[in-house]
Amino acid sequence: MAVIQIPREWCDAVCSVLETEDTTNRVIQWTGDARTRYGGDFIDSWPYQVYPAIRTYLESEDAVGCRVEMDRPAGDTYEFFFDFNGTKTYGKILLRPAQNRIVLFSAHLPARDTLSCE
Amino acid sequence: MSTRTEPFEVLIPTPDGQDVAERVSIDVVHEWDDEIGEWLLTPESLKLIDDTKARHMGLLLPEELKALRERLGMTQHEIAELLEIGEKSWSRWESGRHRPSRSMNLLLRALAERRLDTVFLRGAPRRKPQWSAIATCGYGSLPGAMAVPQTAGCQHDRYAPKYSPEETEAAQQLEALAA
Repeated sequence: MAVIQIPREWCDAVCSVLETEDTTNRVIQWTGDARTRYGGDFIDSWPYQVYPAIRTYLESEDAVGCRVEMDRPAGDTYEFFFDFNGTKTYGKILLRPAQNRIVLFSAHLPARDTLSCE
Repeated sequence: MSTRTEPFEVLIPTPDGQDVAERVSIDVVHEWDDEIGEWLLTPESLKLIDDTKARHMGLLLPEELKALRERLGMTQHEIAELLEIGEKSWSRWESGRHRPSRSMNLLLRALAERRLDTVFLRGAPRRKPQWSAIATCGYGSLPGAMAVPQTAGCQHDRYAPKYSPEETEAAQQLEALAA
């Protein structure tokens, strides 16, 4: 398999959610592992600082990545690489079925050079 | 909704942001999300992590910023104007959505600890940069800059270029942006 163009509808919905920067009403949620790894890799950054970087990538016409099959059919998850302050960064985000909330599964330095579908 | 509490290690950066100065272990609450079958950090946990990091970095916490503004008897608009920042920036700091930079925090802490008062800030010069003068004569043309011998090409009487051609070019670009 190869990377695919991430659906525009998914990108737009995720960008809209990221723009809110809202973590107080469970609009943007993080797993404990994602928050730990982000804090370890970007020690001098705050979580909200990564949102614009993700948005910049997903707003681009050539945003590509892999669709990730999760255990439960509760939304669509994509993984992709994006630039965060000049650093190649791995992102994995779930867009919930209602399309107004997301879960950040990953936002950290890549463990591998390629995505899972490459 | 079921929850569980687990230890979380908060990494505190060194002042230059390049290394870990301190590791602080706290307990955070995860909640089980039945829709996706995952344990997720609660909003309170996310705030606790960021507040812990901020406190150990010496940054004022959102509640402390609000208390400072209220002690000064200012609205968000007024304190933003005093600090020459956007009202949205102050609002984001007070809500904890964003955090002030270390350099801004120095000023805020000085205000909070009464080592600096608003009278001083109100008296600070608020002259806008004269981009055209900077572009022509460098930053040496600004009022208050040290007078140096005039050189060719500078249209101003008293001050001569102080910066390199590259810096002057950058100032011109800034002027174009400002226009």
